[in-house]
Amino acid sequence: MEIIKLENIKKTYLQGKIEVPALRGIDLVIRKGEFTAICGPSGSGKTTLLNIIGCLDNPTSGKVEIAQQNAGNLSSTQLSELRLNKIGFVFQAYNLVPVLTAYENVDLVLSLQGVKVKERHERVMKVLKEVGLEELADRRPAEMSGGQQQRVAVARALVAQPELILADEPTANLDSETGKSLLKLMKKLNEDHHVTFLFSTHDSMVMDFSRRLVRIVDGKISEDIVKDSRMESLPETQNMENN
Amino acid sequence: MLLKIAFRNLWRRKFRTIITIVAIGISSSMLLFFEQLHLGQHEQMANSGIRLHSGHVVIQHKNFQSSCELADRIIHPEKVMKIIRENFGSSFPVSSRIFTTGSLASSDGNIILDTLLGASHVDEGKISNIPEKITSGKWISGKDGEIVIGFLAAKLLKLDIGTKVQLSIPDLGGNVSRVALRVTGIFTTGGSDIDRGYAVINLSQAQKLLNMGNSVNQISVFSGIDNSLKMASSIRKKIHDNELEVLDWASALPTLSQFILVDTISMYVFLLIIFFIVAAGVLNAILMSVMERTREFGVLKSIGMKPFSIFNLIIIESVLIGLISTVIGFLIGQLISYLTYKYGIDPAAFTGGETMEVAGVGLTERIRTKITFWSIVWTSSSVMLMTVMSALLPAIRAARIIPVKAVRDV
Repeated sequence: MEIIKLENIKKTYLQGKIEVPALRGIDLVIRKGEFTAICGPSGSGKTTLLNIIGCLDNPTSGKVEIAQQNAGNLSSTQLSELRLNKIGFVFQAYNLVPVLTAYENVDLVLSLQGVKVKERHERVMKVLKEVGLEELADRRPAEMSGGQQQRVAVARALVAQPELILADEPTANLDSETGKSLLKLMKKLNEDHHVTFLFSTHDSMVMDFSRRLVRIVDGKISEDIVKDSRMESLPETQNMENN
Repeated sequence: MLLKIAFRNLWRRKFRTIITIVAIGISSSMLLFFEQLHLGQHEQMANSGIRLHSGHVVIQHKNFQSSCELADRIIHPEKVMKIIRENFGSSFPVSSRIFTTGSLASSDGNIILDTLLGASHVDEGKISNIPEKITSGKWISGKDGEIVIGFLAAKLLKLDIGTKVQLSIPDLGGNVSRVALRVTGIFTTGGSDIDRGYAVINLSQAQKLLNMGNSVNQISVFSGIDNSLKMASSIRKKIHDNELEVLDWASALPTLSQFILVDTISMYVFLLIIFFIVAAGVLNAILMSVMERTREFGVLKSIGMKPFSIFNLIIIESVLIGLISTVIGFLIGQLISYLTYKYGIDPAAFTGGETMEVAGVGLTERIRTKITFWSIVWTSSSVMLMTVMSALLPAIRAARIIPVKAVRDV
């Protein structure tokens, strides 16, 4: 099943009166259960692409379909609902709510979804246990290390049981050991829950962990490599490779 | 959850939150105190005017208000008194009065009396504030030959208790009546016009001197200031005499009531200015707090919080600030108000010992606040409303934050 379908996505920023193209026509399909990294040098457009996929930004032209919904037709409130129910985010700078504890940060998403308190507690504790933070549930972000904060961010992204988790440079602020441990956790979650992960990164470790690598240079896909034999049977992926 | 986030956000910036709360709280207490001080002062002024000049409800000839002529009189006051007693019982003091002008003369000179009041020593004694203001001698006792005058008149004519003074007044037919009266009491109200040009004699003597028979110029009912309009309307319905009119105190004392109205408007304009200054401060504090948290709002939107929920979050924060400020404002304001009510403010302190006189009424008594339920409700709700209104702009701004810009920019 297609989770992401992008057709000829272009994005141009205005710097003063000068138009700066960030994406120059991206076609991409990501299917359920993939563990894919978008890589490329700084300024290549990978974060822009991730933001468009996450419905945080609009393309200048082109069509974005997320979980079979055309994002271009949705209102601001509908986009919020789409993000709430279908997409989980893990940011480079963790971006937890500083006044809430680890438990509350994770719980916030479920409360926004309107899940009942009892069920929320069970789900939050379960996901915190999965990321190995059940002991630190009562700590606020400022009382945790970078790696721990990023695990909370993963738990927050995961707890709503989204179809897609977008991770923008998730290991950039972590040391290699912590980064590796986080990636292992993500991969396990991908294998156990079949959650689709899409990274933007220039960290070689993330690229090593991913099963598909989409390289972007100057706003265009220059390479689309499937490293895992399990993914070679996916027709969309093959199509992309041919492109 | 929104309430929890809002509360913790306020607590996170303790210093700023406390400064904002203190600023709103002090403004709120000032608002409450000045509102209640003006209420008290206006009521005091109205009461002084009412007790000296009119009453809460005035029944008089329809032309008397403008002409002040003796001829414009109530021919059968006993009929009106009967109607009032039958319909409203005897719980309200009622006094029949004659108002005229005249002159007083002694061997040391003479003065014009702006107001010579002829009234029953019993009925007028219950309602007039002159008996309380007598500084030497006593109130009239009902016997002919008595007069109570102000201390300035006594000073100008060099009169003392027991000395004689000649009163000259034009009667109903236009002839001047003269009579020698003995000074029984000297009063000090603090109002120079009153202390010089106001005197009281017995009603029966006034009626004889003026050839008025049993008629009077005015019947005053003391029903209470808040009851004035309603009582006037009720009496109006009962008295079926086209020659008479029934006025509430504000209509009977237009100069005083207009002064109070203008003073009230000035006070609200002044308070409105304070209001806007504080509102600008609150807007600034909340806007700063919103701008500092741009990234957080971006994150909240990214994880699926709807724009309306972010708007609500800021409004909840402002409601929390408003509630705490209002409680603080209420406590401080009511404490100052209560102390002012209990001990009063000496008006002479503002005039270097001189008596303050407003619209012909001397303010000699200590000014006290009037604490009313509605002044508290009005002040508290307007402060709450101001705080929430000030948060609207920042809340809209926060709700419109574009997540990608917020997360990237900061």
